Amino acid sequence: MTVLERVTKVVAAVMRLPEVGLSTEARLTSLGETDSLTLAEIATALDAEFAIHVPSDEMARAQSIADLARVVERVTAGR
Amino acid sequence: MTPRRIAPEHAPAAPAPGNVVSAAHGPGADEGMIASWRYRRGLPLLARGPVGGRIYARLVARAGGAHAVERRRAAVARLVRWYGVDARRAAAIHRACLLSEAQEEADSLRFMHDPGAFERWLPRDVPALPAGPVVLAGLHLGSPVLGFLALRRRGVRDVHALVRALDDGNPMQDEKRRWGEEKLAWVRSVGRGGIFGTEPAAIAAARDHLCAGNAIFAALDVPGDVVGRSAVVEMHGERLLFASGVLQLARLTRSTVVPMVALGSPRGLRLRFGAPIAPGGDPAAATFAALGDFVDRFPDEWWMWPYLRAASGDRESAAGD
Repeated sequence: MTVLERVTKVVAAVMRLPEVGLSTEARLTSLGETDSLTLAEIATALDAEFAIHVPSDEMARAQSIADLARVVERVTAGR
Repeated sequence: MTPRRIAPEHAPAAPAPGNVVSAAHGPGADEGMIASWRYRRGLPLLARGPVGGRIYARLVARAGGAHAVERRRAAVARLVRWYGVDARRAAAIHRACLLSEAQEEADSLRFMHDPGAFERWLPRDVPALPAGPVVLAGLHLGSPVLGFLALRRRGVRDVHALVRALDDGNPMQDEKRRWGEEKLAWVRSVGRGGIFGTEPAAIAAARDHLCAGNAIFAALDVPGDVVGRSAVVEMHGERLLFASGVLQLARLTRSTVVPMVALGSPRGLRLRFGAPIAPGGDPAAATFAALGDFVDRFPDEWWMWPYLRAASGDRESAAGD
């Protein structure tokens, strides 16, 4: 499974969305209901999935699932 | 759970996605002319000294008790139900709560002008917090904002507060907003920062802060109908809706939850801590049980009596609907 697929799975689980057909380029806020905690929940789930710590500033800049996947790749590469 | 809208004049000053401490002291008990006098004239003119501050607080409590009829009714009815006191005693407790809220305003304004007095008023030290990330679960009771500053200035850990922005999404009377902005600027200055907002990026930063082993302070008694996430909590047989975002943040970061309140008096500020609630599982029940104990011990210091919301499907219990 690619990083993008794993991130998609994480986002779908946190936002309680069907994984199939989820746009990886769309803004996270357009995918479903979000609130101020959603980003922190996704970050925590990504931490667990990839055994990393995704910093908040990187998370805040990410607009889409694809952005998140790039963040994860950067953090993983810098480990 | 679908958040319900409430009329702006009944909205607490600082509810937010989770729970926050108010820069403008939570809900006001005044409206229109009284609020205008309170923040434009009464507070700045009277509260620069300790005696004037006490006079200010008494005047505000008297005016609030007399004019905010719906809030008084809601508070009195709840106090009668919870404690079995008569209506007269309940009204006296409610007035004491209004005084408590106004006294923190007066104390804050006085300390803005007298930093030395503020240093002497704070406790000399703060007990050590448990190791690892800690969420300090407070209430709009006594002196929450000054209690946070005590943690910032005396504690050994880096404690940040979650504070909702005083923007258009946080409705309140204009004079009260100006006072809130002035106070928030002072809190930032005296606390040397230490404030997180409640927008998504700030909550993510708060997560980082906790993951790094630091602490967050927030008031948890924000009514659950003005926020995205809420928990139903039973207190004295009443099913109430409280914001639960901060406790979710505690779960995410496996933080220990430490209930606390701060109580001011002319002699100084006292901090009281409840037993730490270890991470693991949902901390809501244990946290609200501990906070409920603080309310039972200091009912005349809790500002939220009129503002609590019954859980959906239960009898409506907040003032003003």
